[in-house]
Amino acid sequence: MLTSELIYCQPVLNPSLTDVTGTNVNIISKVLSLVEKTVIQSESNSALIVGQRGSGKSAIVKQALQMVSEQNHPFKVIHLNGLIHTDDRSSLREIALQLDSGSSGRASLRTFAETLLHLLAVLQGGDRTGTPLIFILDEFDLFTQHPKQTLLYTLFDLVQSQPQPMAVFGITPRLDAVELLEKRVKSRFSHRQISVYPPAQFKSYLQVARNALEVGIHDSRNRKIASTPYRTDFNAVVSQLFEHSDFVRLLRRQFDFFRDISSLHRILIPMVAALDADSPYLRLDIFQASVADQLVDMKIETIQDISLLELCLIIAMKQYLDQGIIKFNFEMVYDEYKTLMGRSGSVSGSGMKLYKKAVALKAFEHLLALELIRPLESGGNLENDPHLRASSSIMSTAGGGSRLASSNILKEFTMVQLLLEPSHIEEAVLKYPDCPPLVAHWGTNAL
Amino acid sequence: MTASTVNLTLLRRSAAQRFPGREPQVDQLLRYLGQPADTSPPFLFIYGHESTGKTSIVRFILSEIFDSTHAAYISCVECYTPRLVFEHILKQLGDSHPSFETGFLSNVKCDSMQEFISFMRRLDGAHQLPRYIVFDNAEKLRDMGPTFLPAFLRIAELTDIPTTIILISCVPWDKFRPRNGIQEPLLVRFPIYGKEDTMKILALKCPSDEPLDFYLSFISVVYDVFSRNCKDINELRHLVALLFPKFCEPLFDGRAKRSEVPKLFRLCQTYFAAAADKLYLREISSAEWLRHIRVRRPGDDSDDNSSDPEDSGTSILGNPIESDALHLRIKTKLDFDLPYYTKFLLIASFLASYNPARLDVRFFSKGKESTSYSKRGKQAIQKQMMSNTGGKHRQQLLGPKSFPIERMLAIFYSILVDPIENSIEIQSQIASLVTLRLLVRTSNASQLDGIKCKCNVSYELIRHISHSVQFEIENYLFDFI
Repeated sequence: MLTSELIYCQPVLNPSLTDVTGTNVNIISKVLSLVEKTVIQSESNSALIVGQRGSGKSAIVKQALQMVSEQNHPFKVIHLNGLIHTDDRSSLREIALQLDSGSSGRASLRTFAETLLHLLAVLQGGDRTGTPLIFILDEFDLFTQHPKQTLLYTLFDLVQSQPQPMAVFGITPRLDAVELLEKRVKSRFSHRQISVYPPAQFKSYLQVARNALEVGIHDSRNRKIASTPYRTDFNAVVSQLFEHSDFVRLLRRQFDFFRDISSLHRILIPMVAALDADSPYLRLDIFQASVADQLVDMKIETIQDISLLELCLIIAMKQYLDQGIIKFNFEMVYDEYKTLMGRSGSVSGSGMKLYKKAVALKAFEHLLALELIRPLESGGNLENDPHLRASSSIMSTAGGGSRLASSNILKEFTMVQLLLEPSHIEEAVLKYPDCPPLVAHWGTNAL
Repeated sequence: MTASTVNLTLLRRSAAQRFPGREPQVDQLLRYLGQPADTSPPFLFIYGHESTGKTSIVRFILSEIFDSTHAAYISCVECYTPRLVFEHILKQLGDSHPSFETGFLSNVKCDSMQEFISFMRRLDGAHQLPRYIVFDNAEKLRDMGPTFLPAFLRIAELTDIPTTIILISCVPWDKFRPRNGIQEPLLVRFPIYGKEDTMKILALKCPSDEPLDFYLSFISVVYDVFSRNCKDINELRHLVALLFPKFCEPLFDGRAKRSEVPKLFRLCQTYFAAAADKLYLREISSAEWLRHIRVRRPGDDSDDNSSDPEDSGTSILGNPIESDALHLRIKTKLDFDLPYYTKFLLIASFLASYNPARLDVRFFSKGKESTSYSKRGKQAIQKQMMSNTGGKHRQQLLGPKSFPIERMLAIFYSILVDPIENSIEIQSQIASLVTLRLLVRTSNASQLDGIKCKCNVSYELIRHISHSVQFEIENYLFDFI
């Protein structure tokens, strides 16, 4: 009983059901009218839908297509995704496959030329009465990286010159996507751009959140659900939540940082996921905890868990940073670590131990594996670094072989860069559990 | 929704037993994953340091909740190319096993994301139940091309079958984000274990013939000694395996009783110190170590134990401890031999790599051995150099610089005790040093004149070599500490 109810509370869990309430209704009608023109009036079109990630571009297109398909006009949609169809050959194959889905005989076309010829013949053979084709190019900017943009050229050319009704919709998060087109491709593009924005008003943002949480009266297949007392109670709890100042404050914070809907869903999911037979209603405390969980600085979290020796090495690197030296190798870091340990005087008294070089090297490599430090490509570009120029007179003889050196050099001497800010390190040292006061002192003071 | 339901309370309990100290994480995961038919968040990112139970807990939960055809587990170390990843996923989800009939060949050939998606669509998804794909060591996924991970994260959208991607990694999520944006995950953090949980986990491996209290008191001390610098449970386990037999040894010789725990620690202290020096190095495996102890035990009671145990604690060298496995491997590392003159060639190239060329006259000219002059000169130069570099950019720290072969040969002839003639043998020895990678050629391979090299040897090794030929290398090095 309970689980069957909860299934309907799942817009949050199901990204394909993204809610388009928050976005401007205008945009949907724009896309819709374009699609309708192609499908009903046999007019060819091309457009680019631009908007940041998670702003609901795909959802809008999906919605529009669905609305058109309800009008009982035949048309065919061809989906391509720049992430998957990374070259023209695979894109063409995919188009051929999706066009031929009924009669699979043609799919065995082998070569690129054959596929292209076949496709062009099919597309050019049509006239105004042919089935309208809608091309959806997701991740449009990646298609522009195909050599010579043959696919885009062909598609836009067909749109412009053929009687066959066709529409090409590009979906991209890049605002400058049009600039990526070559001249001959650009001139064939209609330059129609539709911008999609995430909810601009906090009020509509709240409405999206509420729609996501409330159990609606329709299920995902648009069938009506009978009302039950549980649902009424559940929705009452949701309404209470939206009146609670803490809940609204946290949502406001999220809204001020990221407006996209997927990030909103991300912080709502833990609360919904925690529902079970024992606690059948949404709980604010879980929401608060999950927001805190999801908004952590992972780098600092990672430093919390490293060993004391590794922390000391990081502090030693910070000493170099404070001196304005940004590149160092293991030998330099170990030397600084030794100096730090020596300066403390009471090495044995404070319970700290100066570790052997080999042990410290392991710790150093662990830091590399955690990607807190990053090796520089070649050890030879020291000369370009102003901080090391003092020593570069000694190094000048090494200049010639710098490119070879990187792979040949002993790992102790490979130059690395610290990927943390000094302020990060200070914060992490202060948060480090059970940190000896001496280390805390090193970490926070420039000594 | 025909899938059977799983009793989550029961599962939670059995997980708590198997994985002490991980209740919050198990809870969180179970909440997200739920019943087989439940929809799950599209993307989870599980992070934490090594040996915090990430992989084993995820695998345990998935295997308990789902059929093998709904959850695929991919180790990215094992599957290091996109093709291997695709085929392994399809094999697991398609439930195909290699068999004799098919010649043990995989029946799926899948090279690209495009094919993979069409295969995924065709797999009989058993009524479209959600699928789970776990990537262990997910940081390796970034090497598979810029579109690989973003495409995988959209797999649910592309295949129209709800699919949850779970990434497991030690590297924070920040390092995964590609330039053109990506879906953000839900984070699940696995922190390191605290003392209590560590003890519980280590106690699971208590030897059957030892009383648990005794073992626990031992573990507690091991934890206190090493935990600060060694948070890895596997490493602690290794240390326990190394040290426990040593700890118990006095019991069998009758030097101490089980109740005298502090005394046992005093007797064991040297081993603790030695182990701390070898932390993480694993110069010897615990199995080797055990074998070694077993070999030693019958023979050693006659000679070793006659010496005062306190004595063996004070000096580490030349005592029973020296023959211990903890020290075994360090010897073999330095234990490689070169011909006499080759050693000098290597020493000379080390000197050429680390000393500034303009000081060669001071160090190596043979004629004027007026010590007072050279000493004074050295000091003056040292002073000048130190003020120049501030000591932190001395060559010792920066690493070897390359030198022309001629300079190295000049040093070579000057440090030899008995002069020899320049011969083809010397040249061939240089070539063999290069093949041994003790010297690295930095000039072009096609260039035959003015060859430049670099010495690729650590200071410890060169000191060992020079001692073996009675050469005091410390006296010839500039700016070394």
